[in-house]
Order: sequence, then structure tokens, then C-alpha cells
Amino acid sequence: MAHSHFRTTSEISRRQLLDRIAIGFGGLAANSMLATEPRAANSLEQQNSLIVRQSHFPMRAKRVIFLFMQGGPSHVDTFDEKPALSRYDGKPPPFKRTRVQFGDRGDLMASPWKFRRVGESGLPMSELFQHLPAGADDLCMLHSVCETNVAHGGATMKLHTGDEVFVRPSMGSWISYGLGTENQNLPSYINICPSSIHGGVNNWGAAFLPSIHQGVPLGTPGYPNANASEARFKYLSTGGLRKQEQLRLQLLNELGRQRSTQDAQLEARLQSFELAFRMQMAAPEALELSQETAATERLYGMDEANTANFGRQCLLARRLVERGVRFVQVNHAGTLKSEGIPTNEQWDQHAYLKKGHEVNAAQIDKPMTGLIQDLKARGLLEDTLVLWGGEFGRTPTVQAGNSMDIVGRDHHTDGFTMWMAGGGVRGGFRYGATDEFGYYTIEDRMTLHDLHATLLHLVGLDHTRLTYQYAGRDFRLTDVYGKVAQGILA
Amino acid sequence: MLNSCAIFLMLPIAEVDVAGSEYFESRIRPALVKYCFECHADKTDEPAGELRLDRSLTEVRPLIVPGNPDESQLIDAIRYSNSDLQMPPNARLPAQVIRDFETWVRMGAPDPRTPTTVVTSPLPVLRVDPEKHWAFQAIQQPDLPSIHQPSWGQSPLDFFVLAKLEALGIEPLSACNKNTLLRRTTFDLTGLPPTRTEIEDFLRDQAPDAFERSVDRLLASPAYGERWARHWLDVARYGDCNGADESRPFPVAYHFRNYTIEVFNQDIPFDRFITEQLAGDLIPHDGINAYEPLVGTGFLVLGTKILAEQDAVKMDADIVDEQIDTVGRALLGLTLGCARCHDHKFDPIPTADYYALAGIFHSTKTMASYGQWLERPAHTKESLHAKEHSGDLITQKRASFQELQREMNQLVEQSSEVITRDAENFERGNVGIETTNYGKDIGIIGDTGVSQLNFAEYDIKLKTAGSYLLQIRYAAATARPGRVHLNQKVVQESAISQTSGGWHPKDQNWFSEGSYDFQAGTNCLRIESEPSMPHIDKWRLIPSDGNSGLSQKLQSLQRFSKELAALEMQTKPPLQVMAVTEGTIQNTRLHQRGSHLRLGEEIPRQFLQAITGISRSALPGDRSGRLEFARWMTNPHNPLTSRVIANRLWRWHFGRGIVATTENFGANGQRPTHPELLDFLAQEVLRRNWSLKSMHRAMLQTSVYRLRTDPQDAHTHSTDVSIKDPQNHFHWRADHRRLEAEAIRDALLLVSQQMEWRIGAAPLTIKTIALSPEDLDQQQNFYDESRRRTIYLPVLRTNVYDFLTLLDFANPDFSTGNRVTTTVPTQALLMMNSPFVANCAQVVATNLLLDSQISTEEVRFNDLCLRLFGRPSRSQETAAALRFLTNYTATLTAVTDPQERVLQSWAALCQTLMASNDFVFLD
Repeated sequence: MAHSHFRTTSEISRRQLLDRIAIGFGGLAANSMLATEPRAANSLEQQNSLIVRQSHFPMRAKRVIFLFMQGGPSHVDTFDEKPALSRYDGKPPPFKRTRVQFGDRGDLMASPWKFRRVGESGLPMSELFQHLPAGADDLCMLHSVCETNVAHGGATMKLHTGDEVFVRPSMGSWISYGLGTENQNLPSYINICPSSIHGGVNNWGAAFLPSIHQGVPLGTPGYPNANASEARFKYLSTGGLRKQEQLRLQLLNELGRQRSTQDAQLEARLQSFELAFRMQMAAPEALELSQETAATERLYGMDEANTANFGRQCLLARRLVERGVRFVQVNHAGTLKSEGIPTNEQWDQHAYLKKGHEVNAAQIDKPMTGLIQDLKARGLLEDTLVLWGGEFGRTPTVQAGNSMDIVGRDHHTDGFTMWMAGGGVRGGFRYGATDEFGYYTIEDRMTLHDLHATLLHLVGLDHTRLTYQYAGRDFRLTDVYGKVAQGILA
Repeated sequence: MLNSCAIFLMLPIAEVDVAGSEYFESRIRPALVKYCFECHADKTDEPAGELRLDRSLTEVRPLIVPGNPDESQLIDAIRYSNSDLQMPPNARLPAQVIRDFETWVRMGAPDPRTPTTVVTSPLPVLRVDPEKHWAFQAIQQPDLPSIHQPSWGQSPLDFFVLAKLEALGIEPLSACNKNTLLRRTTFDLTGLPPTRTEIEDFLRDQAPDAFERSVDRLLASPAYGERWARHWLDVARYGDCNGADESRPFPVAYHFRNYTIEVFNQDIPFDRFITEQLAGDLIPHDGINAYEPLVGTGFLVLGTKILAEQDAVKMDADIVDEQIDTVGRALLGLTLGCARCHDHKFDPIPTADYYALAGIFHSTKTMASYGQWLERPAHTKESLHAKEHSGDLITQKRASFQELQREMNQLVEQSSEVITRDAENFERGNVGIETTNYGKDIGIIGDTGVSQLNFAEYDIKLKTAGSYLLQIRYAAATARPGRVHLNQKVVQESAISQTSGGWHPKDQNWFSEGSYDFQAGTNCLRIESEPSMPHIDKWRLIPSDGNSGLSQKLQSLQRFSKELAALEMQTKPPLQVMAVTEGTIQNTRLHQRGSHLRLGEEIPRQFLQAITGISRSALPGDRSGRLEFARWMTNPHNPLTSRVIANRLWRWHFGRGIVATTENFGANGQRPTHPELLDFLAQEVLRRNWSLKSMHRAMLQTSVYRLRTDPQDAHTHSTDVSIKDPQNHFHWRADHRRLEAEAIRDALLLVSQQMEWRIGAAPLTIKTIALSPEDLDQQQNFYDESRRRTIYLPVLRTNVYDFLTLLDFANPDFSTGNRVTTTVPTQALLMMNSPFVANCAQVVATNLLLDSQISTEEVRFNDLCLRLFGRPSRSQETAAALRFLTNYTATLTAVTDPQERVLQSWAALCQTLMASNDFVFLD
């Protein structure tokens, strides 16, 4: 297994390399000498490291924040306005439905919310969102996302990894593998309070990619997901004195150096202890929110009970990308049990659509708007991509019960909405469209493979060239599919 | 090889009237050109779906059914009415164009273009000639190559290795010392470090066969099976729950694990092991082996399934696909799964071969019902013995019991004494009621999906007090147990706990929940469960005292039931294991492009054409063909099976396979570094009757196994070799190998004398699904506090123990024969800060300090090195350690007790050594 005779890139010795890292975060990123072409077939050491690698072409976004809405928000009640649903309210759909559906579905149902045009760009947005209109002109609506599994598990895995059945590397892992990361004192891919269901670890796993690229959970994965106040790295510290940790590190190094070997693995392992040692210092600082002003906390809604949890996650995400972490995922993945709403996953309103979506939207509205505004104010939005969405949308048709309070919508996979902001996409823009009922895509169809191809394109990677050989085959995030949505590029 | 049997159909030339022709030219042809020809025309290299639209379409059924647009696939596709086939793929055609096509088909699809030969459903032929790829060629009997250094050739294996090195001009390093050799071998064969006594014995033993005897000793140890079964569990993608989208528990999977340990310890021949895994249900138990062969078929059932898949046909196809893919990778080193949608791009595996195998697995029953895998009773040696002694009696008693039950059910149905209530007619409750969607006239209660304590309470008015048997009718695919209260007291702790085979009305069944005394007046019966509940249809109360015929019958039934239970208790019951059985015997139709919705030719069940050395005869129509498949697999003329296992053994002993891609021997896998050696070893597997223990001896009794890792003098050797073979592909030295996660954990338990030795394990009792943060904390504690060997820890696919995943445990969703070794900072954090490692260090330090025979710190440190590294301390090391102790003690200013300061310093030293390369690497 040994990838022997370790040579760090550009003939820089390990000691020199570490000296550079010690400059502080960002120190490495600035050092173009270390940037190497990714995916060079023989550079196992490089694949196994987080060292910054050159993108295939100029990056529009240097980092990604993915706001994952577990359960499937309804597109026809949020961003994809369908007046026809009001005209056909209570009537059977005048078109054939898909052969496989998650459950039996009823007649068409009008959205309980009014839509209005927001921002200078005049994007349609339902009244569910009161704060987001302020960021509307940065949003790039993707109205034609489609082709996923009808059940949560398959759909969640497909969204995160491109495959609904097999365990494959997640998109964050692919990006880490392709680009490395700008801060050598922190992991490249951090998943804040992830959900343990519907694929769990596989949704942020590296599968067969070197494990250094796997998402590192910040907070124990769970269902419902952990509260943001529990977000921490495991085993970060024993609470021992810094001096004691230094002594232990020093002893390890001494013992390691006494061996007469040039083995890459042994060297790399000593390095990893040094990085762990640095992480013990860098991570607490990165996660220390007390450095933020009260105004910032208010911007993220952290002063209100309803928005504090998601706001905290969003603020952590900003602090992490600010420090050079390549891919950060934020999860809206709890339940509405405390609200007395009998649905499963956060956005999975088979019933109680009205109340459920109102509560959900209120929880994220201010924090995510705050995130966009804060990134913008700090000059980070131009090269940070924010991606928002769930594993599918919800049917234009009704489900469960007769009263308006109880009714809900089923899973919908044939056309639903996600959005992006910042990172080189057109703001105040709508890409793709569904038919007049919000059922099938009719324009610029965007499969999940297309979404992934586009995401990689935005971070400067060609999805057909970002490959990894496993079991004798070159794998890609997009398998053999994927088309970049050129239309959304700013 | 299959003949080329593409079917060519000459189509009659349609007469096309002028109006039709004009319509086609004005409306249809331009649309075809504009929207379709990019992919579906001659100019494209490979027309998509092999469909060409640039010739007459009038008679191409069912693409076009003239006169009937609704039956025409083309219309279906452009209407986007079917999510599985929507054309054009990017966006729906303008509504007017769709209407034009509909009109055109209604007109009879007039098409003036020249009809040409149309290929429909071509049966694929081999694209790649198997004779051209090494892995499909017959295994050779290679001659021993000549070598210049015959003294190096301890074994024929060495000749192959050394000949390669000599050809490259590389001189191998010398042999390692005895400490290193024993540590290497002990970890290799048992996954544990050698004990001090074992080290001392081995160093003292100067006999020429000392090493050979050590190997025999290690192979005879039960720890051998625990180590090597774990290797196989990686390949068998073993897990204790489903993982993926719905991670339901596999509560009896562990029998397969224990069985595998037994297979290795008993050295069951590997061909027999393969046969049991593929077709153990079809071969008899010899009464000698510890387990009935049926247990082996757990191998086919253990895979991850998408249990929430809503399309039952697709679910079956996916399960079969997972089986084929696993069998291919695990046993043949072939990526058969690639041929599901198209002929294998690189290997001689046409799609037809995939579906020939799929037929065998589709004829096999893996699932008991929708979403529920099969579990079957299987005998152990003990239970078989017990059955032979009292089995007939039990069978008779069971039959009479069932007869009595039938009689009683009839009585109950007719009786007026029985009180029956529909479950949904409760007085109080928070359960969900379903009266419309479940079935005509059936109302049920169940949970609402909210995680809560579900309950339903019923008021029952009785004129007189009396004892009643409570029966509840419900359906449950998985157990959702709850409790019964009577008059505010829990009377049944484990009620509604059975499974009935499904959730549907047809799965509804009556279950007895015990007899209770009811009072005169109002009684409150409460049924509750948390967080989920079976689908409860109704309940009834049957008077169980009194003298009516019904009561009498009931009493005798209850007596009988007790007798039967007592009798069954005396005998050792068979195990309940995950296993398959024969299903409906059927050939499978080829799935075009992998879709179960586009079926092609029926493909007779058969094995791979690429294996040309074994003649293929038709499989019998009365059985699946799995047993025949296993025989084909283990046929000595199958060149893959013995090569694949020989290569796996080499990989596990040496750290890299002769074929590095242990799961892929195909054209896209790596080529063997030593093809002759691989063939020699494959022949040895056959010659040694598939005995793996015999193969271990062959591989270990070699010079190549004893090589040093590093040259004695780094300067004399490295430059030259690092250019010629830097990766050590040709074994001029031994690789430094990091211990596997299990070996690190087990070694920590062993050196701290905390290992709890117990073969086998209790079933999994922890939650696997919908894990809350509290559940996960609990599981973490469960893992951290366990002191059992790692192989006995449950493998929760959704929450594998982080100690294992951080240290590169094999992903239990894949067949893995070649675990990766990564080096990441989170591993460092684990080793430095985990409470488990800290605890082990603390215990070792305490033991060392309590040892009254140790007089000095130097001796104490030497002792620690022997325990952890299997060798004495080195002087430089000792100096560094003593400096560390002094400096560390100096930081403990807050600790007043001097003894405590010493203990803490030693514990810190131990933990640092446990994290060191010397501990976690094998030299």
C-alpha cells in the first residue's frame, strides 16, 4: 500500500511546507508554487492531501455553501408561480400523470399563498418569504430541476452524490478532490448538523475517493438533526494543556525521526498529527461566535427563538467559508413535532401544508437572507456560491383530507425549483420552466446530473475531466451524463 | 460464442396517398429534422436507442401504431406522459407539433420515404474475444524459472518473485529479525500482537522449524477465524442493518458472521464455502459442520436494498442487480453489473449474459414480501441433534395445536359470548384512523407518523366480572411492539409485537395477547405503542373461564400451548437466519438499456460465455440453477475463481494483490505483476483442495514474506531501487503497513488486558433507524464501552463506529477486498483524544506502575516497548521518553499528589506511544 518515496510538490521539503502553513490560514492559497494540476494519475500523495490544486479553468466561485432543505419544499408555493392552479383548483389534472408515484394523488390545488413580484428584477415569490425579497436580485432561480427518485432516500442520495442506489462520492468530496482547500488548518468540506437518515453519512461521504475529502460533520449526525448549539468537532481536544499537547507531538516526531525510513506513509502520518494539532487551535477560533457583533447576530435572526438555530448554522457557514473552507453544507433537517404537525421530515408536508410551510419558511427566511447580505457586504458573495433546495418538490395536486388546514402535497420529481446566488451566476434570473401546472418541465430541463455539471463548472472544474479510477473504471460525479447550464452564467 | 442473430425484417412498402404525403412533408418531416435527427439519424455514429427516424416509420410498431396515437410509443414519448421515456429529452415539443404528430398517426402515419431494413432487438454478441484477455485464458502450469541465488528460494513462490527482481536488476533486502517476523505474522494471522511469552519462546527456539510451528500455532488459534472472517466480511459487504434510505435492522445477520468465523477456523474448503454461499439451501447438512449450509446464503441477502422503492418490479431488479454485482466482484473479479444496461464496454460480457444470470436470481426467493427480506430456520449441529431426538414429537404436537386453533376460530366466529370491536371505534386516543384507502369496509388505526406515544382507549361494559382472552387483529411487516393496559395497569409489556408478512389487508391476522380478569361495570382497555404502531383492524375478548364450550376449548388450547412451549424449550431450537430459497423458476427477458419497462428477448438461464473451458448445457426447468452455478463457479476449469481467491490471499498477506484491483480482473482492471506466480498459486489452490490454511502456510514459508521493510543502511540501496521500482511492486522489500482499524482496537484491548474473550455474540439490540442525537450518543457509549473483539461489534451501515470509519473500515455497502489506508488529521485527533484510547493507556500505565518487579524507569519503558511494539526499547527512544516524562510531570503543577503526577505522565507516555507509527504500523 505504500506510496513510497514521498516527495512533496515542487521539491519543497516537508519542513518548509509546514513553515509556510504556519503563516496562518490563507497562507497556502496565496502560494501559487504549491498549486498543482489535479488528478495527475500518479500523484497519490496529492490526491491524499488538501493542497490547493489548479482548477481546469478560471473559477467563478471559490467556495460553496449548500443550504439543504430536507423533505422537499413545494415549488408551486414558493418560487414557481402557477396561476392555472387557481383556475383548476379542485379539478382533476387534464394530463397524464407519471406511472410511478409516491402515493395516490388527488385533484389540482391552488397555492394557499399569494405571489408577488419582488426586487428590481421582479422575480415571482410567494408571501411565505418576507425577508428574502431583499436578496431577490442576487437569486438565480432554477425552475426545471427534475429526474430524481420519488422516495426521500433515493432522491437525497441522488442530490448529494448523483446516484440513487449505489454509494458514491458526494459533490463536496468531488470538489475537495478537484481543488483542495485554501485553509490547511481546517477540513476542506464541513457539514453542519447533518441528518442521519436517507443515506446519512453517504450523503457527505467520499466513498472510494481518498477519505481526506469526505465531509467532516460539525455536530453529531442525527434525526432530527442536532441543534446548531451542539455543532462541534469530535475528539477536538481533551482539554489538556497546550504545553502537554506540544510535548506529545514533539515525542511523536522524535520517535518518528529515529526510524531510518523514507516511507511516504510514515511521513504523512507525522504530518497529520501536526495538522491535527493546528486544527485544535484553528477550529475553536473558527467556531467562536462571540467575536461577532450583535448587529450581525440580529442580521441572521439569532436573537429570535424561531430563527436562532438556522441563523447560527448560517453564521457558522459564513465564518468557515471566510476561513477558506471549500464546501460547507447547512441543513434544515429537523421535524415539526414541537409545532404539533404530524409530518416526518422538515419540509415533507403530505399534510398540514399551510402551517408546515409557514413555520419552515419563517425559520429560514431571515437567516438565509442575512447570509446573502452578509456575504455581499464582506465582498465574499462574488466568489461564494450559495445553493438552496430540497431533494424534490411537491405535487401541484392535493393529498390528505378535506379541510384546508390539513391538506398537503406529495413528492414531486418531474420539475421543481432550486436556486443559486453569488459565485458567478446571473442574479434576479429565472432559468428553465415547468408547464402551466408546475408538473412537467417544458424548458431547459435540468437533471441532477446537469445541476452537478453546472456546479462543478462554477468552481472551475470540467465535470467530464474530474475523474477517479476505482475498481478499474473512471468514475465521475455526473456518471456519463451532465450538461452545463450555460444560460445561468453571469 | 453466440451467433450473430440480429433479426432483420423486410418491411412492405406502404402505399402513400398524395394528401398524406403532403401532410408528412409539410408538418412531420420538418419537425423530425428539427427536433429528432440530431440523435436519431444515419449521420449519428450510434443512433440513440438504436432508433432511426430518417426512414419510413409507417410500420415500425409499437413506435407507431397507424390510426392509434394512444398506442404509439412515439406519441407517448413526445407527450411526456410517461416519466420513463420523454422525447426530446431537453424539453417538450411545442403543443402544435405534438398535435401534428397525433393527427399524422391518426391518418395512418403516411410516410413516403423508402423503408429500409430495420434492426429490431438485436441479440448482443461478444464484443471482446475472451481468448485475448489473460484472465479468461486457462490457468497455466508454469515452469519454475531459474534464479541466480538459489539459496533465496525457500519455496517455489520465491523463484517467481526473485526471477522478476533479477530480471530488473534489483537485489532484495535481507530478512527481517525474529521480533519483526513474529509481530508481522501474529497480526497477519490473528489480528493481534504477540504476547511477551510468545515473543520470548520464539526468540529462544533455535530449531529450524520454529517459524513453521509458530504458524501452525497461530492457525489453530480461534483468533485466526476472527481475523480472516473479517477479511471475508469485507468482501461479502456484511452489515447488521440495511443502510441506505431505510436502515431497518438485520437482527439475525450475525449468524452469517459467526458462521464465517467457523468456516475459517474449521478450514472448510473454499469451494465448499462458495457453494454454501450461493446455494447452501440446496445441499444437505452433513451434521458435522457447526452450521447448516443454508446459513451461507445469507451472503445473497445481506446487500443494501432500497426498501422505499415504490416500483416493486424495479425493486426486484435492483436486488438481483446487487446480487449479481456482488457475486461478480467477490468471486469472479468481474464487474458484471456493468452489463445491466449495455454490453460490457471492456469485458466479454454481453447484456444477454447478465440477464441469463439474472434469471437464476429471479428464480430465487430473496424477499419474503414487499420490502421484507427472507428469514428461514437453520440448524446448528446442536439443534440438529436435538431435532433428531425429539423432533417428531414436536412436529406432531404442532399439527394438533394448529388443528385445535382452527376449531376454536370457528367457534369464536359463531359465538355470541365474544366481544368484538373495530379498532377505530375508540373512546379516547391520538392514533391515526384510516377508513378509506386501506380496503373496502376495512378501518384501521395506526401511528400518525409523528414520533409520539400512540394510544387508543376503549370502554368495555360488562355485567359480571370474568376472565377473557384478548386477541388483536393486525398487520405488520416489521415488528412495532407496544403495551396493553387494563384499568390503568400494564397487563402486557410486549403486545402487538409480531409480524404478519406485510402491511396490507391480506396480511391481517389474529394474535393472542393473554388472558386477563375484567371487572363488572366499565373496564378501560388501552393499546399503546411508541413511536410507531401496526395496522390494527379490530380486537376481541373471548371468555376464558366458565363452562361454555368455547371457554373449555380455550382452556385446553392454552394448556396445550404451554406444553408445546415447554417441549420446545427443552430442545435447542434452530436459528432464524437470513437466507434464500427457490422461487418461481423463470427466465428473464432482456431489459433494454437496463429498464424493466422495455423488455426484449427472453434469455435462457445460463452462465457466462466468456468462460470457454466449461461446456454450457441448458439449465433444468424445475430449479433456479444456483447449485449448478456454484458448481460452474468452482469447476477447476473456471480460470477466474481460483485466481481470484489466490490473489485475495496474497493481498491480505502482502498488502497488495498480484492483481492490484482485487475486484476487477477484467480488461479495465490492473494486469498481474507476476502472472506466472498467480497461475502457480491458483493451481496450488486446486492441488491443496481449496484449503485456505494450507495456502497460508505456502505463502508464509517463503523468503519474500520475511523481507525487511527498510535497508539496514539507507545509503547503499535506495537510490537505484527507488527509480526501478519505487512502489515496491516486485517485492524487493516488505511494505510498511498500517494496521487495520480492528487490529488497532483489538491490540489496544489486548495490551491493556481488557479483552473480553467470547466467541459469537448476542444479537444486535440497538436502534438502526431514525437515530436521534441521544440515540447516537448512546451508541457511541455502547461502542466505546464494549471490550469485545471488534468483529463482534455491530456494523450499522448508517452509523458505523467512528473509531472504525476514521481508520478506513471497509464501506459495508461495497464488496471490498482491498481496503485503502488514508492518513488524515481526524485520525490523529482520535488517537490523541479519544476516551477509549485514553482509557487503554491509563490501564497500561497503572499495570506498569504496579509491577513490583520493575526497578527503574528504563526497565519500565523497555517493558512498555515489548508490550506495544513486540521488541525491546532502543536507547535513543528511552532517552526521549524519559525526557518526556520529566517535562510532562513539570506541567502537572495543579496535581499535588506525586504518585498521581507519575501516573498521569506515564499514561500520557503510553497514549503517545499508542498513537506512534511504531505501534500502528507493521514492519
